[in-house]
Amino acid sequence: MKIITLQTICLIILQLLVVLALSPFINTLMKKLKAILQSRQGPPLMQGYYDLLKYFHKETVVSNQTSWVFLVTPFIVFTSVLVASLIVPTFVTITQLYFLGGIILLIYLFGLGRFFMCSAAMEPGSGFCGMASSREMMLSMLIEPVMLLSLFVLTLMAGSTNLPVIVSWLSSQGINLFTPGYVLAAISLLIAGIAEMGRVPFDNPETHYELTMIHEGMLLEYSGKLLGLMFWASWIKQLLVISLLANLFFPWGYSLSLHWSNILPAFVFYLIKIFVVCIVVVLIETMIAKVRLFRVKDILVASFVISIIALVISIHKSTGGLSL
Amino acid sequence: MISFINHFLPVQAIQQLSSYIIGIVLVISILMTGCRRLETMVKLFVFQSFGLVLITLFAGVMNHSSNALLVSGITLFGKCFLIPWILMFVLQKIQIRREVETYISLPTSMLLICSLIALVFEVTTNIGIGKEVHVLSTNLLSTSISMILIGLFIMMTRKKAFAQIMGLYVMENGILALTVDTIFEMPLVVEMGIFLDLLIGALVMGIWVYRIKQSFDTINVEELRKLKG
Repeated sequence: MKIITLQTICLIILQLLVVLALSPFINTLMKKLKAILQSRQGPPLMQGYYDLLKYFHKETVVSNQTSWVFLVTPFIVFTSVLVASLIVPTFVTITQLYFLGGIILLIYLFGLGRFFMCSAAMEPGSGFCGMASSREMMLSMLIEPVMLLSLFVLTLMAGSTNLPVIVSWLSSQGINLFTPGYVLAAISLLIAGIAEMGRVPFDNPETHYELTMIHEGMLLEYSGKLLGLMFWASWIKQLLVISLLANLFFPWGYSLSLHWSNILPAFVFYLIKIFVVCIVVVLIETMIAKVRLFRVKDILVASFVISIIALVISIHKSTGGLSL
Repeated sequence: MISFINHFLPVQAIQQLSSYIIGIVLVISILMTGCRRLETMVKLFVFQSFGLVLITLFAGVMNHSSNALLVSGITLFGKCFLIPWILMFVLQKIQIRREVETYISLPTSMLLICSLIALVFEVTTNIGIGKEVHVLSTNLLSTSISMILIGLFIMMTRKKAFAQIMGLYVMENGILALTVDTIFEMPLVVEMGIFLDLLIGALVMGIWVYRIKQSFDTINVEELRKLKG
């Protein structure tokens, strides 16, 4: 067991602050990029912060039909996402936190938040909230195995379920890292990640049209400070998924050592990687229309199958004359 | 020609590239199982065939056989241009775009195929074919056997006659991959014979599907029970 030093604690706080501060910006950035692609003007880049400020100044109205679950949920969702941000590598990898857990903890921290969000959405008895939460549960049932399996491919390669260990192993490999199993896992994790973020082929984050919304539908009964907290949590989750994609499938350029001089260039590089992933996601979003809800499972099953193939290929090392 | 290719692509790059192509071919075959639109199925078939063309080409380069180059050329011409062209023509004629119902729902069939592939990989690896018989690659061996089974599966579970034809072509692609993997180079005569068969097959089956559509107003094979004069 490694000893947690003062420097590590500083890094943890730094990572938390960066994730908290960056997430509204990234959400607005994606909105802006999408607007530019559709030749609209889009919101100003600071809009996420203005929104949060507005929400936290507003009065919270809670229906008197609800119980404590409704009040406690935003805090649970927010905290679970914050804990998840400790194990997702961003620009530093805090290997000292390996006792926290790895991939499985990450997936189920998201799952915990989702569970509470769905149960809170059913509390006020609004029809749209209930519908949205049942949809969210259906989606999550399909997303979870895909994420787990595609991350298990990396686990098999690195020999650990720990994200910081995996990432530092990956970055020690050269270009040989790009085996077919790895690339297929990247594709299926991209699909599952987009579904987890609740973005276009699966759910439209910008619509408030009652029959199509999934994530937004669950927040209908929230207002004021609690709503702000829920939005912030979902933005942080989005940032985490993006940085997971960026760091696992382009695992270079972050600081492995905890030296301050390494951290600044690593941070800049991290911003560039996130920006690239954002552009990819936004491009996909602009090119593809939202899929009908009952077709969503087809896409997710396809990505599940891709992740299984990635797993099978990376388990069975090929031999033979060509050793392809 | 061979040394020319070898000059640009070192052996290691060829190996790396082929391993990608094998993975992609496998994924494409599964996507064909879950594909609803018939037109997309033909497109996926083109990509799959192109992957096999590249694999044959690389196998030829690695084994210094000019025969394999010819085979890959024939495959490129036939399966990437001629046969898809005929199939697309038939599709335009019959005006049927998508498969509405199948015997097994498409996501389920994708999952079934997935477990089948896992089984094939397990069996072909453990049975030790790679050790006793000289093969190009054990992954290609498993992929080709899976492709044969996938083709069979598509033929079994689809109701539309056109989709069943696509299943036959997937099976044929699997056999091509198997021959490339195990005997490296088929005699050119055999390959040309197979190619001619496939071409005639595409023509005949195209006309056949068109006639079925004309007289039954559907290409569901389930409807073919009534006698029509």
